[in-house]
Amino acid sequence: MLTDPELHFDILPGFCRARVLILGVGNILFGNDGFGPEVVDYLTRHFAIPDDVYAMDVGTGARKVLFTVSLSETRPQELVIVDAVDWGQEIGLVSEIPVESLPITKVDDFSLHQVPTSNMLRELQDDCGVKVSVIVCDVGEIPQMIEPGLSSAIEAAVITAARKIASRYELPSLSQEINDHA
Amino acid sequence: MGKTLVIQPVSRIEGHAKVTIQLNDAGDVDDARVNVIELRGFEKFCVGKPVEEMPRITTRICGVCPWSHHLASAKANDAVFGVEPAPAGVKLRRLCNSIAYMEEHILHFYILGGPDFVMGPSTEYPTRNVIGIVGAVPEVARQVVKVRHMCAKMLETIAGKSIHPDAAVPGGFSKPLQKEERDALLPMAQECLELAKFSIKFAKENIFPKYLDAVKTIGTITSGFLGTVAADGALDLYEGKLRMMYSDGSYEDFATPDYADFIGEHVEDWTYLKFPYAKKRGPFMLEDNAPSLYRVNTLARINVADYIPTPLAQKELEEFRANFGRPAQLTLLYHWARLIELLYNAEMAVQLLNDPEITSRETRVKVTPRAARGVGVVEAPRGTLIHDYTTDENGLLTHVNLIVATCQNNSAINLSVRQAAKTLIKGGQYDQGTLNMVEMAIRAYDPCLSCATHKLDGSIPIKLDIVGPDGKLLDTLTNS
Repeated sequence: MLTDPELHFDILPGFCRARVLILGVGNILFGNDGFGPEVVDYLTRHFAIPDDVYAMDVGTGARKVLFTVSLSETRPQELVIVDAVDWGQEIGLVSEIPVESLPITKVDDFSLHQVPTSNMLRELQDDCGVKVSVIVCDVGEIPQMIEPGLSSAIEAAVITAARKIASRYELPSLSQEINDHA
Repeated sequence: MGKTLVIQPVSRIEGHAKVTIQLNDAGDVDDARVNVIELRGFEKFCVGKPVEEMPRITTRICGVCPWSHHLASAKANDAVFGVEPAPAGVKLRRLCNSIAYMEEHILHFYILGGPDFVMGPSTEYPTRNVIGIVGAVPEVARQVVKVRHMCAKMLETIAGKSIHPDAAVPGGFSKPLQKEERDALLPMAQECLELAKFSIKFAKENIFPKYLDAVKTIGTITSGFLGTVAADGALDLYEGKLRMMYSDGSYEDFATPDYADFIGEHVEDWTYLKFPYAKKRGPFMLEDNAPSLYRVNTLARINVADYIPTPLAQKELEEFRANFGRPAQLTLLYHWARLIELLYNAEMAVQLLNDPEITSRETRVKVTPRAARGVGVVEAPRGTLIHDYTTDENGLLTHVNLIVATCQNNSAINLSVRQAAKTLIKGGQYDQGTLNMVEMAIRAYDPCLSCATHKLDGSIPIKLDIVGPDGKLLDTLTNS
């Protein structure tokens, strides 16, 4: 096979080269399941994203990105997963959970729709040196039929989660952020 | 005492599914069914929206094959607006399609389906996965990752982004390719081609011979096949006519807007997923070798095509046909056919990037709203994908119908699982390896249930429940 080390860095997609990779996971067509993508949307509209931070709305395609990152030799230093869950807690509650506490029942799941595969996240953290954060919002039940749009509780949670991320990575606020909440 | 085995959900396929295996008193398999929850309401949701928004909206249906929905939708738009898209725009669409195919086929062969073969079907689950592949063949894994990087990078360069693309528009493609971009992409495409060549050689030397017995026994059924071919019968994944080939090798060709004359959709009360069937060959029957039974996806396309218009893939097709005939029926040959298609797409990508017209500035034509019907069909990596739109005079949608690829393999997946279960489970004896081999029959089809399902539970990836006739849980096996 051809191998050209000089080519390697240039061919890397942007999400592998970033220092911090933020992935918004979920389907905006199914109500509050769109929490993750909406957080990323809010971040990119209201905060300046520096070159070394990469925020992606990955929809239901998180798996593509995580497979690539997990097997890459060049990876982000930090990975932030933003996702919706239905764990029977207070609707709209935003919390951060350690990778180690992800349900063991997800350990071998290679299908990534809600909380991405915990075993891959653990590999990334334990074996690849990537600091993994998982920020989740309990969104309650998801509609069985297509019904875009967030409930008011989750709209508020989007702002909470976005500010949490912005604060952690010291993302400068754009003026619109101030206007929206003046 | 009769028992019911439940595998829920099936791991390493795109989305979730549940397999139920019914044992009789002797412990043999009476029946097996794959249950899928269908995504409901999408067509209704789209009615009233401007048709030109569909190429962007439909990528949200499925994060697994967004490019296929994007392109089928753009083609349906071309038809609704009554335009021939700009030639350079078509070439850019084809190029993106080939790159997306490579990304998907590499993923499936090396990561989703590959572990069964590279690691062996009886290997413990925690190592029978992508991490196991890295340990078993690290140099190959490195190259696989590199090429996947390049595929993502190429799509990013050509279309702006690889997930949720929006570059294909009614009438063509929104972003011309710069010459310097083409120059940067060409060596990447050539390296993809090298991996494609290596992959099929590697599989033919190291994998397929080792598992030929499995290929001949697991999930085998006899069916017809559906796929797209060019006007001269060549393999074409983007455009052409549909060809329904029956199990005896005879076939009928038809124009894509006429699909409803050839494809019926049957409903069963135990699953939301419909069962498309070849309606000209009789009623729906969920039986092996039923006249109306057909399959889609790689093996179907390789069977229906008279030839492949790129030299290396054509050579592989000739060898494949010499070994397995036409139409080839063995279910695990989907993997082999997938590698032939990988090679074809790699050759196509290089060919398109060497085409001077690929950097033309004229990538789209103007469109004007009108009342019309438009059908867009592409071959998604997992099979024929149909988007059918009708608009009013303002270009607003009044009717939408989608037939997704995996849905068209619904009957075949069910029958292959039934066959595999009947072959492998006797006298109530089963273990984890048996369970995985039943799953292998499903994975051969590379089903993507994301566009057909939306299931939000965090349940155990593989769960096998043994339930007695009185409903009492007798035993549970999991792989966690």
